[in-house]
Amino acid sequence: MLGLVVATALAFDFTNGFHDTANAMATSIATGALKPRVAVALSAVLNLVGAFLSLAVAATIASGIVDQNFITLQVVFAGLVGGILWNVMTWYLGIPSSSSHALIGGVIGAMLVHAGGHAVLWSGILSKVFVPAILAPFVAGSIAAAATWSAYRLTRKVDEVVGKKSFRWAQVGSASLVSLAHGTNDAQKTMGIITLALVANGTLHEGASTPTWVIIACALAISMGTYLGGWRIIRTLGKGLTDIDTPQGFAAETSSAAVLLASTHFGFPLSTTQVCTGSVVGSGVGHAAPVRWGVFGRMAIAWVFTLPAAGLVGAAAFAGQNAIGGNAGVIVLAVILAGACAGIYVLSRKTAVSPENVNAEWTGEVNETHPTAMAA
Amino acid sequence: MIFASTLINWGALGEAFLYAAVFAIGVVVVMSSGIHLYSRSEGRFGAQKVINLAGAIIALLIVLAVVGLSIYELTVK
Repeated sequence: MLGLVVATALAFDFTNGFHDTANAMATSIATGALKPRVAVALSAVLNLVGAFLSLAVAATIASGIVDQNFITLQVVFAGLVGGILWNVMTWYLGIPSSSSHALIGGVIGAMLVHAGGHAVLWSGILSKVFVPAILAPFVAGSIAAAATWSAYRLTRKVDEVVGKKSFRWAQVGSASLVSLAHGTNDAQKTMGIITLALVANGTLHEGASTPTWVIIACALAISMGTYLGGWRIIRTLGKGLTDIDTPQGFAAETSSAAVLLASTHFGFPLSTTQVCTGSVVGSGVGHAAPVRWGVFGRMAIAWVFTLPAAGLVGAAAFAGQNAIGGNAGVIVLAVILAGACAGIYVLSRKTAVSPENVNAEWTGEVNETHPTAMAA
Repeated sequence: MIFASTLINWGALGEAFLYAAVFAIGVVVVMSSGIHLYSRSEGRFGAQKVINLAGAIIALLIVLAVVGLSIYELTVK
């Protein structure tokens, strides 16, 4: 049971990695500042480094969201199932959405079935999930718009070739900072989940620090996922929202890094995905470039549904494993999860997005690319 | 309103927004100014070239210092 929970947590970490590669690298890939494979490799290394960087003990993601006294291995497992399925589904649709919110949704759904509504801290959900989700894109977007406007204003007399080349390097630096911050934040969340499972199982005593093997395993899982590159989401964020040039990319990534660092420092953690998406939209607005609001609207709808949809899966998963009972219930659920993920993966191959066609002209859908690019 | 005030630390949020805005716009302005100065140094000779290049290098060093500080923030949080 514990082994399966740990393996599933690492699988979630892996999906978190490939789901969020776009946050840091989509604009660098879209502007050609980095070649697609180089970008994901750089992001993977920085996520790996980031996972080891922070000395803080991994905090549990469910803290302040559900009553910790009711958490069991089954709740954690069902929550992970909800989080993974939502991540894989949104990846297939090419929609950037918060992995943390998906996991929180899964845990809430499982907890509602396990212990009822009184075990869920609704005020925590409002202050830690809903309000940040609404504010993040606006905060990041407005800062990115101002930064983009400044960048173009100050370099309007600069030779185009010199400007492009210089901003490319600057963009690589700012995107790297976002990758590093992502590794520090998101790998720690899974470390927290595994530590929680170890405590719930009695392997670790309460208050114990995260074991080294957990840190190494989580760091490797998130960086491997990042290296795989969620090309479908990279394409949506880099090509779908607006046409990005190097000054916009630099301004967007710098704004994302600034908002993420400042909000974490002041104890107001925001979703990396929502911040980065807001920044990309803001960079379009700041340059008076056309923004495809329909694509953004689709993302916003997905953000609204993240918590309830992952919650429903988490609730169903918990009820299902309870109905079968014991380890058999967990194993059956793990097999169903693996089958569902494999099915979505096979489906995605019909309209594969790869490093070769990730920058193809946007035609309205993530899986509609030029035939020539598809053949590449 | 009171409900929202007790749940959300608006002060912290405002501070975070202010710091993020100063950081992001500041870095972009300094870097863009550096690129502008570097561009101006091209095709010029003598003191003007040196002054423009020095300005560009100072701008780059400021940005690097801010990035270094950010990484330090990541490690101590």
